[in-house]
Amino acid sequence: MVEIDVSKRLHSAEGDIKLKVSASFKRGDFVAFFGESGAGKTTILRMVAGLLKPDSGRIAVDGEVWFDSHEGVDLPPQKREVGFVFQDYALFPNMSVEENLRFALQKGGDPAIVDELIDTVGLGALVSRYPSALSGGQRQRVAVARALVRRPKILLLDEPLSALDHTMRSKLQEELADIHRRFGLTTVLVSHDPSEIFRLCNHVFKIEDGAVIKEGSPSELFVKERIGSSFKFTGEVLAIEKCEMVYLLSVAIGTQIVKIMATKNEREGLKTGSRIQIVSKAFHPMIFKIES
Amino acid sequence: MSDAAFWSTMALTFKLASVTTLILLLFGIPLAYYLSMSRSRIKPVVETVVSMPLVLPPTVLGFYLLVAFSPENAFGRFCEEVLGFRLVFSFWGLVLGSVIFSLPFMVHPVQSALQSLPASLTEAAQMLGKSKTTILFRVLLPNIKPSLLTGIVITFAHTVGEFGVVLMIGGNIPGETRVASIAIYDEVEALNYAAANHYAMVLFAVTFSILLLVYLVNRSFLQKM
Amino acid sequence: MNRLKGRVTAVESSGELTRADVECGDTTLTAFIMGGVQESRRIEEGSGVWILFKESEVALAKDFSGLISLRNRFEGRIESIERGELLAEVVLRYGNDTIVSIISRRACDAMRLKIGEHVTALVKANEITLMELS
Repeated sequence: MVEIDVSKRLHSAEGDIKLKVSASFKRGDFVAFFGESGAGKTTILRMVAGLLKPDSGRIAVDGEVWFDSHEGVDLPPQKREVGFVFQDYALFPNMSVEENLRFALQKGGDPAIVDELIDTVGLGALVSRYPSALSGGQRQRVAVARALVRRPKILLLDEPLSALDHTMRSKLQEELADIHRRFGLTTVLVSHDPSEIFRLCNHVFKIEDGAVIKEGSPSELFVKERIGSSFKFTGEVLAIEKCEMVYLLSVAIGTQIVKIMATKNEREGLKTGSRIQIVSKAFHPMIFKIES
Repeated sequence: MSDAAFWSTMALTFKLASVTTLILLLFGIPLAYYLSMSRSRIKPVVETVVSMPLVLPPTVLGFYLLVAFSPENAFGRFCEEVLGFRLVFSFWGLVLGSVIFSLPFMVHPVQSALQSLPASLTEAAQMLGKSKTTILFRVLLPNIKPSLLTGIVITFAHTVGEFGVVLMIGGNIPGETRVASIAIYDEVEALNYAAANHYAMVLFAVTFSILLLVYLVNRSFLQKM
Repeated sequence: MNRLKGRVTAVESSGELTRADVECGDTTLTAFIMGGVQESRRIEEGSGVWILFKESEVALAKDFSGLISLRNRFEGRIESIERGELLAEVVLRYGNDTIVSIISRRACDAMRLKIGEHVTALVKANEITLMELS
């Protein structure tokens, strides 16, 4: 169980805001803090990591108190068993990929994990490259691998994919989901992208003006219209073609692109890049067995 | 002027510059690190003190150091009676004066380079459980090599060229406190232009070479980054 | 999609399948929902709902007689017709609402549909989706 109940006064460009957040989730969860930029999402992450001290409150993981303003407990970041992936990845430019990971080893830590992680994120061919010679996606992988070297309980991801293009994003989303499972992590993601959260997370906290205003599963939070039907997908409109009185929408759903028919009134207000929800009743499907 | 006198003066000049630079490397970098991280209320005061030599006439600083070093006063007496050495008109007095006077030339480039590094580098290393010292030596300093080199070289070159402070507290004792810049002044006073030119040319050439080297090395650093 | 307001008059579940009767204007529609009791709990007798169905799932009939399994019928008057190469879009006036049907151009021609004519719109029960009014 991870319990966060903290408050802190923040000075921002738009004046002071009071951050007051309480959130709790289970070990093994993949949770998201979702909200506009400036809402205080990253601040929460930094307080969990111990990089920023809350004014008051309590942070506890599995009953172990990491911060408690009443008891005067404030564990330093290195004692918190947390892996942090920064938005800018914060790779050390003076170290190669392998050195970045080795640097993360604790004294007496088992160096085998470095090789295992390099393998996991598929960076075998790049171990001796320096960060400046890596692509955005590769940097992100190194950052995630480095954050896992110390076998943290909690992995904190601060907008980890925001700087990447669309295809790279969905590829890395799958990898993150895989790593989350494989290493039995509790992962906390800060994001303003509902589709990312949809794909990765099982629980979302919606942050607005420094407070949790809503929480629940991604579909509870993001799907405004509650419809009794079995197929729901969120996707992104890639193209709109007119075809007589109807329209064909090319929609990216996960890693697939599908074409669907839309009528005039459904097409209204949509443009390429629009996010849409596609709902279909469960009566239609034709079913084919996949021979293995 | 004998050759021996010339070379002993030159040797003294570069010895003073080297010792000063070394000491500043040891003290200036931690100070720059502190200033780059600190949000303390006394930070502006420390920054001001560090920067004072940039704006203060060297003779002002030299005058106060002279007064302080004098065995007539507490600090000078303490040095002489307890530590057993005299600072005024001595080589180590010159070193101390030069260290203070060249402090900003080491601290400023290093401090501003440290500040320009993304804060996330330090935080990432912190998250990996590293101590402040490890972070400084393994993460921060290796990534500001060009500024470090600049700090070292400017400090060195500046100490070579310093005149006012040296004159005030060092005087002009051959082999002890007579450095090249003083020697040039001295020779000109004595209308010995050839000797002055000799010193001046060597200083000019050496300083030019050092700076050129720095810019060449820095360029290759930048290309690598 | 077509979107009409209605009121649930009866709900019946059998295992994972639920049938809801919904009153809409002067007709009563039937909708099938999967998900059994859990899904149907949101749809109670007497509650207002949105009735949703896709234009392409609306069949049209003229001078309709005989037996047909489609029980969801709207008697409406043609307000406009737009003919494409392969498709035709027929807009019906049904009370205060409009119902749009997209059928094949051939069928539209064969039926000689004209503006002002009375036709019956037919929708299969499993094509109708119910959504809570919000």
